[in-house]
Amino acid sequence: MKRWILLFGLALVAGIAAFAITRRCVNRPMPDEMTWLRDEFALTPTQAAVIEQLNTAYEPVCADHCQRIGAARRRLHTLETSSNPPASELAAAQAAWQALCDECTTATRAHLDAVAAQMSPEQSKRYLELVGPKLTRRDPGKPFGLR
Amino acid sequence: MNDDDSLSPLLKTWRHQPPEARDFNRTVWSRLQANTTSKEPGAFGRLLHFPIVGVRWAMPVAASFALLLSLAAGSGAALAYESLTHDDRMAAEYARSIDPLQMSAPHSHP
Repeated sequence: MKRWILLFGLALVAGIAAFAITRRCVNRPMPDEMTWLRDEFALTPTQAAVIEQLNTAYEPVCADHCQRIGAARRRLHTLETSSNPPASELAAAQAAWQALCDECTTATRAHLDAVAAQMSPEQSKRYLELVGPKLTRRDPGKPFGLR
Repeated sequence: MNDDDSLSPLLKTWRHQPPEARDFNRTVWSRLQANTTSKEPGAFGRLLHFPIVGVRWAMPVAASFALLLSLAAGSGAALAYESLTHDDRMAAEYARSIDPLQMSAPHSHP
């Protein structure tokens, strides 16, 4: 009985070690997003070029949103952590945060749809199903725990 | 008086006294042990054992198979996990790269 327990323990340890070592060894490097899109959704060179243009056009929009989100978050954080924040100012900051989140979500979704529109219908559906759920599902009440 | 007559009383009184073997027990045990460990398994036994080089010890087949199976299962599970989650992880990475709310989240990756 004691031997079987020992054997079970050894086998368990061996299995876990094999899992960890194999995962470490086969951990494929993540390709850049465009390479992944091209390979995963079998993009033609034309489709890839258009999507690349869309990405390039979206970059400044995204950067602007990031900057504004950072500023809005800091403002809201300052107000919420202050001992006695003015109610009107806090409400205004929260409203601004909501509006900014809506704007960002809409822009991101529009970009996603624009990229999907360049793909074949089948790949487009797969793309939206795969990436769509990964976008932020915003909880309006929690600006600091967005995911 | 002939020889038989003189030998008979001598034989009746004679007692054999062998010299004392001090390490008798140890010798017996060491011989028993040597006999046990050096015993070669039969043809079937040799097939079912994986002798460890340099160690006079062999692992029973059940233990060997269990360990091999466990190693194979662990590696297989890792490969399957990697394969199954690769697209999902890549999609999450891509979503993060286009979603400013995720990008600027306090705990987001750079």
